[in-house]
Amino acid sequence: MDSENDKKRLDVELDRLSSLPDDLIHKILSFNDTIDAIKTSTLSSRWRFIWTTMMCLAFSSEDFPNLRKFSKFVTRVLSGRDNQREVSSVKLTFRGKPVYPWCKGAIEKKLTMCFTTITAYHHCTCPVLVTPLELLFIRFMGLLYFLSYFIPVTFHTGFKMGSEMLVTWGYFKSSFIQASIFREVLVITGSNNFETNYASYVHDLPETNYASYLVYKLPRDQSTFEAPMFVWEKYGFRNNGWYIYLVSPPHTPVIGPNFDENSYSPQNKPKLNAVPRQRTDGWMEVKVWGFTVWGLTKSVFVHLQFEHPSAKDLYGLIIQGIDIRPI
Amino acid sequence: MSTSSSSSKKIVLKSADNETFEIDEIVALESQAIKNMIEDECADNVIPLGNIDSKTLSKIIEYCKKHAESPKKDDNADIDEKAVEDLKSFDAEFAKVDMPLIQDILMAANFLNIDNLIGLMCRTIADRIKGKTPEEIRKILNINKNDLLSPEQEAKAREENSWAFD
Repeated sequence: MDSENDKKRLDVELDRLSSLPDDLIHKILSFNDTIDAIKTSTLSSRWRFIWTTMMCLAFSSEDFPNLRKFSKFVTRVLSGRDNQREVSSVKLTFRGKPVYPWCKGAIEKKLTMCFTTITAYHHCTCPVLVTPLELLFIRFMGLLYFLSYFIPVTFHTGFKMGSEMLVTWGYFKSSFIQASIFREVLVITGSNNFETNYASYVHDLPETNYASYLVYKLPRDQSTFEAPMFVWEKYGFRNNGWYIYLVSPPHTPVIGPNFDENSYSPQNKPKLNAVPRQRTDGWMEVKVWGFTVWGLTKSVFVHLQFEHPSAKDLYGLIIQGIDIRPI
Repeated sequence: MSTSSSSSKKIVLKSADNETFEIDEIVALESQAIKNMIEDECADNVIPLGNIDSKTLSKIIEYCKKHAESPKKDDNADIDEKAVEDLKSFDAEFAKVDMPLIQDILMAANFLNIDNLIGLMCRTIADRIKGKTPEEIRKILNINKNDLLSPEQEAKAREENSWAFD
């Protein structure tokens, strides 16, 4: 009896990992791309089907010679996994020419309604117009984080907040600044707030003032957005934040003694004439930030955090992106 | 002397090989399991950890001490960047141990429910098997030889998932 126990213990000691519960093994595998997880299916009988119940998936087009093979792979994973287990997160990393024919059929069928978190990384090295990621138009149950690093390009994507779909057409324009690179990240950190992080690298320019505009559309019901949005620099002091209006206030906000007459927020400190205006392209824009560049190479980092003052769900807000242009 | 000992309550942990470790309660609270025990007042003076040996336990205490000292992320919005960096390099250094110990720490961290440490160990293991062949992974993880697939089974698994192996 003892020797049997000893032997058992010895085996466990030899192979501690296999004695762990599935979710820990999933956790290990989820740090690597899903392709690595599938390769563990030949390790031993313990590992044979472990990958099929993983809830976090990660796909990177870099593991594949072309996007067709990549899309085929994604489809195979989705059909091969145990669909009784919900997917809690999917991370997609693309590089190269964007053609995503698989998004429509495969993913819509397999993954409708089962996401709680989606992370889509989009690496695009060529300055081209990116096709919409249809994938992101599927109804998801939770938040979507959209991250992007790119050379000046236009990109489109959709994400949602709260319990309803939010579609975003994001683009960060930099055509006004020659030889500059914008890296940006738009992150929804909660249903009542989001961030824009971008950096611009500007070279050899005379002193110029630039302004950043948030380009957006509102849902039909604008009541949530009548209160001014609170904006602050993520790495600065929150107290130094300011307010912007997504809906024109009934009275032009007044700075000074009469300011308390503004019914929206007595604490409001509007700077930058933060009142929205209609653009010729149908979108609304509001100035959110300004900066000055001069002289030689200059990096400008903008990390802005936007938050509803009374923490309301921003459902329905459509953000096209940040437009930067000289004043 | 008396003030310092009364200000920080001590907890004693006892390893499988009967070694005792006296640590500050704040350090022990890094473990959700011990925290629950203390809150439910079912922790005696000494908490026996019959499935954790002293080598593993001392590593875990080292980790918990460091993390208990560091300011918590959710304490305030202005996170001290330097403290974060410091903790990161500590974690990197901490994970530079051999695979059996990493697996022991992971199992113990799972038992003690120390979330950050579980994550760190999982990430470390993931890094070490990334891009390796099944044969290499078996060696790295010391996969139980009694549990290996038969050549036929392995061929079948490979064929089933051939699209991932190409």
